[in-house]
Amino acid sequence: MFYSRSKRAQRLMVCLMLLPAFALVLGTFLAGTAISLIQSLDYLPFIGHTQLSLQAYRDILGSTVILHGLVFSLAVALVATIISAMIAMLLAHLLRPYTNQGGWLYFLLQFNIPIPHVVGAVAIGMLFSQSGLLARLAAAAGMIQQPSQFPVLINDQYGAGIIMEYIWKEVPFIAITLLSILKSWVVPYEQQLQLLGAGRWQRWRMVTLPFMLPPLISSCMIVFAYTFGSFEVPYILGSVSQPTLPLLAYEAYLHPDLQRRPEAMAINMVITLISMILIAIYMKWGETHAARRS
Amino acid sequence: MPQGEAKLKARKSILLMVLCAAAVIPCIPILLWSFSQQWRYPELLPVWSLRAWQSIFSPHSQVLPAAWNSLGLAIATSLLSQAAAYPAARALGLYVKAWSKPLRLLMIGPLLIPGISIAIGVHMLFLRIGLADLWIGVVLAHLITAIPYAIYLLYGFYATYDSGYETQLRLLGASRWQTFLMAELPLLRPALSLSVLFSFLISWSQYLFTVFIGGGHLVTLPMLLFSTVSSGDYALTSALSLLLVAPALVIVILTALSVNRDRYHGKEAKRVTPVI
Repeated sequence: MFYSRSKRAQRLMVCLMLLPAFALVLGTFLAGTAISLIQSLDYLPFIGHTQLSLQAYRDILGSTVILHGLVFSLAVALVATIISAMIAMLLAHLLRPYTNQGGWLYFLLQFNIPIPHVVGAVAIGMLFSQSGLLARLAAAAGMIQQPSQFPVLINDQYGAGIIMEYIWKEVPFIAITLLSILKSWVVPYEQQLQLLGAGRWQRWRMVTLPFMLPPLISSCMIVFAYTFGSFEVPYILGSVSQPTLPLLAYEAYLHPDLQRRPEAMAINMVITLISMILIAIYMKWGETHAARRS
Repeated sequence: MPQGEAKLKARKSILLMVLCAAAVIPCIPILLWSFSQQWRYPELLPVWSLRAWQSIFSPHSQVLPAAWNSLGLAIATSLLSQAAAYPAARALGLYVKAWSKPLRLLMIGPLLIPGISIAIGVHMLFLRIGLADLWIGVVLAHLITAIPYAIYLLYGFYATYDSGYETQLRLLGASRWQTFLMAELPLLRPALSLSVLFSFLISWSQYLFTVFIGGGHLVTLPMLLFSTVSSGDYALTSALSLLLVAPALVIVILTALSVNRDRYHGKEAKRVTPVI
């Protein structure tokens, strides 16, 4: 493409290639975040607030509802990520012998990846609610008489329904990431160790696990960031009395009282900040992983 | 070792059953509900009816216009995001050296930052510059997540792409366009089709961005689904869910087929795995 052009012309062309995507994505994203930040500092000229203040942040840090929302969101994301990671690791190891001929296995593993989370939430709700399919099966088997005897798993206080939806959606994603590593990069090293007389456990501990850890951690970070910030799933499967932070941000933003706007923006900034920390961790591990591969 | 092989085979069929159950069981209640008139509690099967489907396809239904809106948005988003992502991914993979990593990190941001935060920020920006409540504003908002995703997928291709093929063709006198058609496109096709399909899907299932930026004027399928969920009409909720999931299922089948025709067969690790 660049055979006969000057260095300068080449640089210009590369910039032009990058420009549309970066202007569209980062331009809008950064401008939007900047407006959020300014409004969170109580700069709202259209209602006469022009004095910058940190009052909104003080308010949300003093509010038990919001702190509960934050802790609840983090806890749900953490539990969902850890359980998904464990199931995915087990699944990846079990599926490993069949990676070369596992057409159907692969198809089934990938099956729910493109299903939207909204639909996943509806499906999990209809399966696990107190009048859901499982409750009906339990009643047919004579295990329960009343729907209220079935455990509350949907719209519950502990976020069980939310967590189950996340696990259902994210296990295949993590498992596929792990399988791609287990399939190829690890194999020669494991064979080497086997030749040197290492046992099964030693091989796993000395080669398989260290190779698996970076992609495992980076995909877990993606899952955690997603589950922490997801709006749709807790909206459908969560309890009204136990809102997650994104739901609180949504409510505060749509509140007709503009005096509450800085609060909405402050919640918004907290969510953005936590995600950015997660991205930083992801980058560190994701890039080490990429460097090791090349 | 015939015994070991038999054990592997037995384990494979158990795995097949488990995965099949995990994929299929959650879909059963939705499927049954969508064909139900009513479904009282202890009954295992509903009273059948086509009510939900009839109301979806009736001439007065809101659903079909919403489906067309969703389709239009998703096609526009998918094509525009390729147009922006293709040159950027190529530049990041082949021409940008030291800056490639930081630029890619910047691009990951909008993918991992919660939709609610981005949607609120972008809504306020678009209100200010007059793009809110406009169709083109909604498309732009959808592009914010679709483009980084497309770049992520396409960059994965260019990171391991050998541009030597192109140099060879150019030396033999091919034009830039011929080189693209004869060398680059055939190799790029698996990654590109994945990117087209997934950016379509990102827009197709988008809720928050459409509601905020569209201001409720542009009704799409996910918006109808959300309002139906709160209304408690299980039959209609299920039928809408199935309608929303239909393109996703087509895409799974297409991806499964394209994996079999993968040009990088045997080098699976270099293929990019889709993230959602």
